[in-house]
Amino acid sequence: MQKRINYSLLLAAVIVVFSSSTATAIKLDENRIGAISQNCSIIRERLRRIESAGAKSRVYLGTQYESVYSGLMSNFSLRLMRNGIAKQDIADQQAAFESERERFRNDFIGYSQELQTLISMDCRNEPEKFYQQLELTRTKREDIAKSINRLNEIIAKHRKSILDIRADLAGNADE
Amino acid sequence: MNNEEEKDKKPIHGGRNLIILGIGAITIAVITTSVSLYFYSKGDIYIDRSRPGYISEDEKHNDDDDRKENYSNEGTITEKSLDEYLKELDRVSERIEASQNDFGPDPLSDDNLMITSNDEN
Repeated sequence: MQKRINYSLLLAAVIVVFSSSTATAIKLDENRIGAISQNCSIIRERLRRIESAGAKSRVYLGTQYESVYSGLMSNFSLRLMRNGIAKQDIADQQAAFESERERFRNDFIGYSQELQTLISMDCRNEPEKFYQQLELTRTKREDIAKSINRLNEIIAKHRKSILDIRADLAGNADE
Repeated sequence: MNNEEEKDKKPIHGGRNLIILGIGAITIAVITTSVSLYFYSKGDIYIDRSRPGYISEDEKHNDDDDRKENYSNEGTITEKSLDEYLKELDRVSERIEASQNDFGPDPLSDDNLMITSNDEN
């Protein structure tokens, strides 16, 4: 009896896994398939523009992050150290920012590769495959957006830490 | 023997051949360049990141955007020096904020790519 229950549970698990995997597979309705095939050249043209705009944003944001890391955080940490002030949170933020910056770079490379694959695909004759690749590219693009948010959060934390140091200094001066 | 002598006497138009060769080379170069430029302007121009003027004038960030913050790593830590640091940090943060939605989902949406089923229209 126990064995039978185990087999039933196993079968149920297989069915659940199978149904969830088929549910995630992209089902395109006829209209969308038709739209992809019909507008293929326009879609590719738009994707090329998106690629171009993304490359520009990547360079621009990369320059700004470099400015935050090298021009501000690193110099500030060094200045604190030279003044004999040890602030672990500032050091942690600096390390986290550099690590996240590396992730941003890699996320962009991953996204660019998927987008290039998408652009080179035959959307006219293989619209479903094209849409699957589009979904993958969207996920990669989302990774970049998340990375940008995390970098912003680190900058916000860093700003708060500076305000805390300032408040401490003001408090000491009053005493 | 006579034939060989006649062959030797045939005039060689070196100058004329050189001109024909030059004109031919220029013609071929003009045709191939025109064809290449046609295909380039049809598509590759959008992904050519090295072309001059890649960033059009109206898309260019202003000079302040290109400014790189460089906080001095020497000097004392005072309220004033911290205020200066915060000012520089806020300046670069503003520039980042202006571009933080550059990788939003809209450009790759079905609507923007014209992949919309008629039922939704």
